[in-house]
Amino acid sequence: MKKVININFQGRVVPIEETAFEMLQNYTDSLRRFFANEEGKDEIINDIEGRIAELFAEILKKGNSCITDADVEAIIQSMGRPEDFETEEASVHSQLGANTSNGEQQQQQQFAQGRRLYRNANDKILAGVCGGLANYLNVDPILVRIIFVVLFSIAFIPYIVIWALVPSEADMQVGATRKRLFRDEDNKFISGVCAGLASYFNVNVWVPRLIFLIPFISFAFRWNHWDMFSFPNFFSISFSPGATLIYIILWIVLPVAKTTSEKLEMRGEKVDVNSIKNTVTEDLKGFPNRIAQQASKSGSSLGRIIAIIAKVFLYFIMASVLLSVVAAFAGFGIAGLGLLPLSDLILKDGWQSWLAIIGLVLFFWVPVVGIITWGIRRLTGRKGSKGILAYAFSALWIGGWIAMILLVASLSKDFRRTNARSFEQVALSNARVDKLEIRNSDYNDTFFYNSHRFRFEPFESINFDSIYVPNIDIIIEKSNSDSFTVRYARQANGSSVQEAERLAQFAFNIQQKDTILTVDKGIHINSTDKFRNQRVTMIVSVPVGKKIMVHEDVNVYDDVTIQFGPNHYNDEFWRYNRYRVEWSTGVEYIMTTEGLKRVDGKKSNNDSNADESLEEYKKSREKLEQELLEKKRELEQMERELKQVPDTTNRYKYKQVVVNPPKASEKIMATRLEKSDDYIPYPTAFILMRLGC
Amino acid sequence: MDIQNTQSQMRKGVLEFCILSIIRQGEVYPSDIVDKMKAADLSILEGTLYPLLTRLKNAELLTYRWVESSSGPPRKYFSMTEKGLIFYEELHATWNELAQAVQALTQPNNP
Repeated sequence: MKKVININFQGRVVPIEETAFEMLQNYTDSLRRFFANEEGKDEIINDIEGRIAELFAEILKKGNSCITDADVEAIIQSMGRPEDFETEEASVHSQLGANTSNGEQQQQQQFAQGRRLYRNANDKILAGVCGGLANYLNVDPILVRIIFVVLFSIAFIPYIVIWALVPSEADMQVGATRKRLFRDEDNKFISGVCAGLASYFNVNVWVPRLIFLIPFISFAFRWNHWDMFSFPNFFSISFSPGATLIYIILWIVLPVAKTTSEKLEMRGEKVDVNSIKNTVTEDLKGFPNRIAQQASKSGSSLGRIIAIIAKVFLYFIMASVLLSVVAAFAGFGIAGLGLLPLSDLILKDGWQSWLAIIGLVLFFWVPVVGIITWGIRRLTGRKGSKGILAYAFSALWIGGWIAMILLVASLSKDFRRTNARSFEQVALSNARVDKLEIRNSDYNDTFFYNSHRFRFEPFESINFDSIYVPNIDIIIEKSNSDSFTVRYARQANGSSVQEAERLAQFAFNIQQKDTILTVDKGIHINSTDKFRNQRVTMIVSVPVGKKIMVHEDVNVYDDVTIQFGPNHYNDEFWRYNRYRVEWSTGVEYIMTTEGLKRVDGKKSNNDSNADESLEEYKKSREKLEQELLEKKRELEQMERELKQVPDTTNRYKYKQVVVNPPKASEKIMATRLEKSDDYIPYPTAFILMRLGC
Repeated sequence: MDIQNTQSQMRKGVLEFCILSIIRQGEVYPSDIVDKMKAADLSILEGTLYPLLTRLKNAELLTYRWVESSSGPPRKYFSMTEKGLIFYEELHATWNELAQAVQALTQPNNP
């Protein structure tokens, strides 16, 4: 049973079997190619087609309902294939002005050069990527698909890229004797996979079979010594699952070569009348077998199901990727908008701030709008000149890139240089106090209670006119003298060293009042000088024997550290190499010759719980042991008493002993009693009973 | 040496001449030509014939007219032009010369 279609052939409607139509198409395409450079080629082809139409009409007139494969084959046979045409040689053609032989060569070359990579819209499972690639490389698309599936994790991204970039017109190569990979069910052992492979690669059918079986062979050899990891067992264990998997994939993906032309394609023979005839006769011999076998169609439909699932999955992934991209850009865009008031403090006026605004809009918001628009159009059906919109958005986005790059370039210029660190001494009112506590100075009340204040890292607070930046490093070290010293260094970045030095002259207060060292919580940044990574390094030298404590408020950003050992002030990155010691704010430390130690003796704040429980445990243990000893003594005493008076008058007199010993003692008693030589069964039994054994 | 090539060359040489002679005898359409050639044991493929006819027509050696047919599409009926006749005569002369020459060469005189 075959599908019949109606075609408009030479101005007439002709019912023709679909497969016959394919053959006809291939034939006319091959003709078209053959006569591509011929003068009057259209006329020639038209004549030939006219002749074919005439023959069709005759066939239909005879009472046939449609044109069949056999009809088309016969026609093609009588017309002959282009290769058989006796073309005139150069002599005649020079008379008539056409040069066929050269023309043919040119045509071949043109054909080879002119092939471009397209996505194949007809031969597609998902997007025609593999089909198009296969077309371009002149291999069977199935091979390409298999490679993609097997290398899925790596090939996934390139697949998407090709899908996106390569246009989709089908540029199918028609009529060529292309070799295609099929399953050969006629020569099948299990499912014809190996047979099909063998045909494609033109090797004996057992070659691929052996290749698939090799991993399993070694199992047979070492049947007795089932040692997993010795060679060759290891080899087979590692390869046999892969081989099985590949085999199953091939089984599902490869189509069965059912029709004659498919079988010929499988073997790479020319699909023309003669070979078709031969194959058909061969097939007829095996026909009874084939009638008996029901070739399962599930192979191809399973493939289709997998393709659909993969398609859905892929679309889902694409959608989520797009969504996250949009969200990320939108997030940045919103943050950018929120930060806009800050721009005064970072960016110089004039074109730098304009750049920032333009860059923000174009770089972050354009893609958001663009992607959303594209998504909506896609979902509601395309309309209008989509190309122009895409170009416009891309152009704007590129503009955004340029703006951002320019902005970053000009900003980084301002941050390029920094001044050297030079320490200034802080005059302490009393350098000989016993301890120092480092605290932050309170803010102006306005900053605390100002309703405009909101916290935004790394800025301490924002008032829209100025901000405080807690860019402070506090280092605590051992002093060489017997008094406290405090020194600090201010640094900033700028476009030149002089600029940096100028900017480094910001105000920063460190004051001592009795035992409290007040430090500014942050560096004040105003809109004239702008934020240029102003920072302070403060070093407090503590003499041995004196105490120091850092108040909790100071260490919000974990910038206070303790340093011992040699000074590494010289290189810029010393702060990452310093000795970090486990220490906490709010805890008093005392400086000893080895370094800072906690005053309260704990190892760290976390130790408290462990210590306590340990103590408790120890105490309870001791208590128990003591009780145990007491009970033992009592028991011994009782025993002695019993031994002393074994007369009948006192037989049933026994002391009432109310004892509630801990379990441990029970056991000890029991063992002791058993072991003793003076074993008196009856009384001791009573005692044991009373004791609840 | 591939004999088929030489044989094909020999055929190709005379094809045009034969077709022209068929058309000279009267108005025919391509299918007819194929049949007549077959009858004369010089089969030709339609795919060979059509390009040839088109070339000859383009060279104004032939002309055609369309004839509607009840069964099927209209057909081209080819006939010879003046120019074609002259061309044919010349070919005919060439053929005679060739035939004589070949005849002479393949039947050497026995002394």
